[in-house]
Amino acid sequence: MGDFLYEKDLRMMQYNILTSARHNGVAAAIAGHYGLKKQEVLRMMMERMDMILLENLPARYEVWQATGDAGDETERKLGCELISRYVPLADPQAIDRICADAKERIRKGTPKDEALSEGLQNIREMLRT
Amino acid sequence: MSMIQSMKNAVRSRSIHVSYVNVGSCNGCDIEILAVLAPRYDIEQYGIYVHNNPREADILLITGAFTPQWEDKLESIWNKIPEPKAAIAIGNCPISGCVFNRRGSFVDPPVAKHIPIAAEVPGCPPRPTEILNAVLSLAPVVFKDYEEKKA
Amino acid sequence: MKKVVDVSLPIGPLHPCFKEPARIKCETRGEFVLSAEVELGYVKKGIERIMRGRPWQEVMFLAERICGICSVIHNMTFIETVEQLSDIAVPDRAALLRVVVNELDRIQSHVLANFSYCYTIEHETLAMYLLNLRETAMDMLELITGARVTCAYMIPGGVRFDLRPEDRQTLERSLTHIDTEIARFTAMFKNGPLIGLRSRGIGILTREAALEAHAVGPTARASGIAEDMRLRHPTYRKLGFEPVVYTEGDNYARIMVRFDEVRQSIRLIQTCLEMLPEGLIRGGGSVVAGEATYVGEAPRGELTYFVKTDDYGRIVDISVQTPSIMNIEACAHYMLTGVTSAADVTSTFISADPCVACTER
Ligand code: SF4
Repeated sequence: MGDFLYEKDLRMMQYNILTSARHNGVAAAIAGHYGLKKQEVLRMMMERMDMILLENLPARYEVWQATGDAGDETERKLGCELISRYVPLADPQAIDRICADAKERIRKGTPKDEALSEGLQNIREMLRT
Repeated sequence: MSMIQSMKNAVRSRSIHVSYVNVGSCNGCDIEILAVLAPRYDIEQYGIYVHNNPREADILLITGAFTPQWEDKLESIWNKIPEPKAAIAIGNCPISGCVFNRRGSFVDPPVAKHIPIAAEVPGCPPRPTEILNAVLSLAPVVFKDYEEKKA
Repeated sequence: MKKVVDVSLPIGPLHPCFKEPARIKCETRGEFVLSAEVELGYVKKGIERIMRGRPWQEVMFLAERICGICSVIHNMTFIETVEQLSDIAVPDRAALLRVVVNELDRIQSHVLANFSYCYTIEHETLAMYLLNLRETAMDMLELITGARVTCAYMIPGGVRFDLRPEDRQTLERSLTHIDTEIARFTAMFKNGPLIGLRSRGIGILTREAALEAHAVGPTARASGIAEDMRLRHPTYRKLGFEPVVYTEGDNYARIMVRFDEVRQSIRLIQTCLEMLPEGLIRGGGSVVAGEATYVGEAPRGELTYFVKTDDYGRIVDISVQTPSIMNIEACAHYMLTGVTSAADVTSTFISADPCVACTER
């Protein structure tokens, strides 16, 4: 991380936002969904989001639970819109690619569970990089 | 008193520029400062102008109970204000931390630890008339004969 | 890749147009805003942390000080949450008086928001008219509750002061005054050609974006989402409440929603006063252990309280979701994208009626 001219190191303040009960729940849910550690998810959030987005995470997660990824079961299981639009941790195009890939494989006859777990694995890899 | 000084006194008594900064308040005090602008209280009839620009301010109104983000920034704002200058703490927050000064909170009152405070207006929030009164009674004390007093 | 961004334009934390400190960082090409970020932390006091483990009698006052502009609704929502989890009934007269005070608070908050917008687009005449009108609403609040900003009017089981007959007459007279004046100012805002140029078609928030960021309150209603938590409130249902909806989603629509809601609030108060029965203003009851989530409609949108208490009426766990969180987020990431000039950044930001104090708590 480079030096700031005016801004202080904001990580402590970002962490303060994420310690509230609701935010913690969201981080835990996402970590559970993709098989990551909660600390990892928290670190990613702090690195990739600005503070107002961090504050808004619980509301966005609720919207996803209610209406996001509604059309397709594979997308819902992979949480495509969740990770690219509602909690934007990853690049939308890359996620779309992984999602299309998984669907393609299911169509070609790979068992559903296998394709899904592979898709999740891919997303996990991508989040970690 | 020299002639220049008396001219300066005359000018300064009718042109006081005010800037306000919120260092972690609940907004209650800020809207009471805004209410002072309203035609009912009409702050401009006393020659006080609210610009909210530290570089041309004479008086800085401070609300709120000092959060950690302001540690270096409040001082740099204070340094930007040209002399003569004065700071007024509005509300209980900058004086004592009000209800927020409890174990586990992030605030670090009083503000007087960080920059010199010339006057304090307690209240949660103080009435607009009290704020107006504080500015009006502080201004002559600070600005009258400033150069002669300094010399 | 070649860098496409010319300038990174920081605005704030101290800015002549902002009432509160927030830092907007815009990535621009020329003056065209490509994207914006908001950094906070200037007013983070950690109120939820100090609320834990305290009796409700103390938390009530802390809740009110989450936001000074809409303190009445924080008071009301917290008290109604506590009432819900411990089954305390409210007398009819008190329930209607709560609506009266809440709507007065909404009037002053909306007028203040429109004042800020007019001040930001440098229409100072209208701004000053509005600010002066707000004082009338503040007087009425003071008349009924005894304080201008932090009133603590509502308590579990009722309200603290009754509305005296002579005060009622003053209230009715002031409401007529506010009504005629607001009609005049709305016409000024609608017909001002320069205001139109600076407001129409600027800072557009589409319906989809509003849904995605979970925008609430006037900001959502200006984008065509007919969502208002007052529709679920039992007292408001009795009053026959209908939300105000505009579909343009630009700055102009957001301000017009607020103007219309002020007049709607006046109607609501007048209906309340007509329906006001004689009787007690305070019932009884004590706070017991339990947990509840309750949603109220603040001037800025939906306000959620989650409260968990123990047997002695102490707050074990609490979390508050304030409307400005969602609205500022929608503003920063959707409205500000594609704004064509740096001057419109501040006015668009103010049009979403941001309240940083309750965003950070
Ligand atoms: S003194 Fe009271 S009204 Fe003023 S900022 Fe502090 S808590 Fe808010």
